[in-house]
Amino acid sequence: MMMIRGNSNKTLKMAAKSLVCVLVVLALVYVLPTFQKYQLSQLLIYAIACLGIHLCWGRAGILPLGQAAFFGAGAYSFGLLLKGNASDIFTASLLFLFSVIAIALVAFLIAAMILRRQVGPSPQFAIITLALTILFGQIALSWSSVTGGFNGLLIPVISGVDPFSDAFFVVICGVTLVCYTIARWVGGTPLGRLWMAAADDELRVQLFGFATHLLKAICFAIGAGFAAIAGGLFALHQGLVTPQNSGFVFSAELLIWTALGGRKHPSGAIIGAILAGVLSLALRDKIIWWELIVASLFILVVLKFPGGIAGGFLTLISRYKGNSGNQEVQPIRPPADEVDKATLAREITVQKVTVDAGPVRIIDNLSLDIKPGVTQCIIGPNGAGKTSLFNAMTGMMPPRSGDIIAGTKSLNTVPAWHLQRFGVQRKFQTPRIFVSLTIRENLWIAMWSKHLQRRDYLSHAPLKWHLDIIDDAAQIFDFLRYPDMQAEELSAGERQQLELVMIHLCAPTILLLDEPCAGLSPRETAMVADFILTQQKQSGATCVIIEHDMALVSKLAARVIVLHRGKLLAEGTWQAIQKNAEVRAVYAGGIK
Amino acid sequence: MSWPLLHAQDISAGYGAGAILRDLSLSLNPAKVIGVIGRNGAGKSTLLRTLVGELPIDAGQLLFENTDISKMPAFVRSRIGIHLTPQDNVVFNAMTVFDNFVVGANENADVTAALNLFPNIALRRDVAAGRLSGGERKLLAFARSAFRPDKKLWLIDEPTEGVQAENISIMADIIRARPAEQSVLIAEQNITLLLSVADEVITIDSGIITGIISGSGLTRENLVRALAL
Repeated sequence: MMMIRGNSNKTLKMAAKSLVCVLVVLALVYVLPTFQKYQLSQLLIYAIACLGIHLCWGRAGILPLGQAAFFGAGAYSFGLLLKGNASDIFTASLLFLFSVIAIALVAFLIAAMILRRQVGPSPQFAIITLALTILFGQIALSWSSVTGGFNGLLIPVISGVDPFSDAFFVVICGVTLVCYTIARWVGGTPLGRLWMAAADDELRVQLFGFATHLLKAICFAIGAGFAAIAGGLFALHQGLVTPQNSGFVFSAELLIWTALGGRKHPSGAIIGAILAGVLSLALRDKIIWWELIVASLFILVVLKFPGGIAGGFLTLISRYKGNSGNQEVQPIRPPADEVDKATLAREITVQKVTVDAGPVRIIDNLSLDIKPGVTQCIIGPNGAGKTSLFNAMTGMMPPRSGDIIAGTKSLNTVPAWHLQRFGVQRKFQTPRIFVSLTIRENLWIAMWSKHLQRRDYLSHAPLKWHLDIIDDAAQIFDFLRYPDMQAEELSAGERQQLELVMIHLCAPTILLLDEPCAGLSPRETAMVADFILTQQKQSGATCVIIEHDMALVSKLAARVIVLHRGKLLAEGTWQAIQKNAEVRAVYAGGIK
Repeated sequence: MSWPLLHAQDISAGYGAGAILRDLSLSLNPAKVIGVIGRNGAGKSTLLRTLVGELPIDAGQLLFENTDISKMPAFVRSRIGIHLTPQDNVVFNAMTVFDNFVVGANENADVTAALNLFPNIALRRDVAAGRLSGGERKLLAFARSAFRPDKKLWLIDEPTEGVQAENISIMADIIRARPAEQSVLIAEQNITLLLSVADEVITIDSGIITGIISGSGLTRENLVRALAL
């Protein structure tokens, strides 16, 4: 019953919002003089391109310096298609759609190719998009037989389409609202949250099993599609496209407007484009140093309101209203996971592995016999190669020679996002979580790692998923009782615990835990140890733990492996290791 | 007239929306080692980061040698002798270990002596600090701070994370061998280290000081009990 009421409430709200939008557009149609409607149309067209920047930059953390190239591509290709074909509205609409989809596809391919080779925030991609813009602008200028060169491309008139008509203005308003709604909606779906997570820590998202380069390429393609829509509408609006509309300066302007309005929220793109446009139309000719004032305003916003106008406004509202929090929803169990059980492994072996970092040999012809289905600790002096071993096992430091084998398959060349298929999960020494998401969203992403299927990426059902482990963990870790808190507010120790809970949500069969209790008090250490042991008993996973606290080692480990200078020094039961003279010579061990 | 080295009066500080420290007051005398313990999220790191000037004070007053430093930026606080060894991001990854020591050193500093504080670090003299393991990076940061002779108040945030026991006892030796007037405020979970160096341990919870343990009360049992409350 609760759910039904919630849904009908939502539908009612949606209907009310749509009604308000329709009324505002109608009011504008009646109030504004024709020429101002024409000018406003142009600003709304820019706003659509800015919405694409919001998605790329505000959500996925990709800085798109080449938005103007796609804007120009949209305008020129639509214009050229119109030239060679009949010009009734129906055909024109089909051609328009065709050009937008083609440009989005090209953008997807470019992004997927480039992003595949790099993890994390990369200036390279921004620079490549910048190069694309410059290249495109140059082609538009030089290939004058097709593009009209410096004078631009005249757009053929479509019968019945008049950019000064009310109908044209209404269509532009409609398209802007549709694009805004798409941007806003996709931001709230699992896909949108994964973009934000990837912007925070892409490798962590990959280790949860997501091919982030494809997710980011999808974002880039939608952004490019928005730019192409804006470009096509711009061609109709102006009747002319010039190389300026695809140049670097225009790219920078779009970026600045989005930053001014607030890149994190779709309304920011629209506010920025309209505000910058209106101000410049109203004041450009009246004030001599207009550009200087715009520049100062931009610097002020970036320094004082990094969230832009929309960001600042939303902060004010949330302060005034208090944190409304998420609506309580009926939690549901995720569907049975689709992971191919055949690839899941409990056996992981290290065979004659050597790892170098530059001139330094970190792991030296190391073979390890890791017992499946039990917990074991790796100890050893600082710099013995413990974390590097985990790096080698998770593809972050590919071995120079030797093999790391999970089940029957070598992990040496397996990309990070495939490790989840083998059941391999890792907790990092310095905790890696998604700080710009809430605790709840962090937990979602971990849950999705195993259960999210292709159709779920745009569904809201995964936002209700819940696993019992979260309840078990909340008994021990207090902060989990405040799921709407930003993960950024967590202390270092709480971040450790959150990451630990997150990796357990993926039902791993091979767990690599790098100092899971660093920075915790002896009591908290004991609580974390209990959690690890309880989970291990239930799952029967293979568990490898790097640890320095001997109280913890003796509690956790059925077996202890001692590394020293990249080699195996000893292995055996805790009692045997304690008595081992060779170990005692290099590593005394202590307690917290 | 003598005054405490550092005096914090009703300071509040935090990140963005929520205050982590709430009306916290604290006095530190010269030549003392004070431990700070508390459950995780209690505000230990926030306290140290506020004292060094990394986080602004929202309310209250901070005096250092009887001078108001509440609004003093971090780099000036460093000049007057307040120094922090942070918990994370502790070294310059692209520089060699040796260059990490040279940065911020004055001409009288004995870089070689600092390098030799930990045997592992001395061996890695010309390796980029980013290539060190997590524990080795902590050692480097600790040694680099230790040899700065001009500091009057040394703030240390969780130095033992990922550090083996032998090196923890070297850390204790270094703290004990500091110049006579220097004070140390150390946030630490490792009770073994605290017991070997601290004159006094303060417990903190939810951003306020909840207790002071000193003298004969400074035992493992008492510290464990204080942390369990």
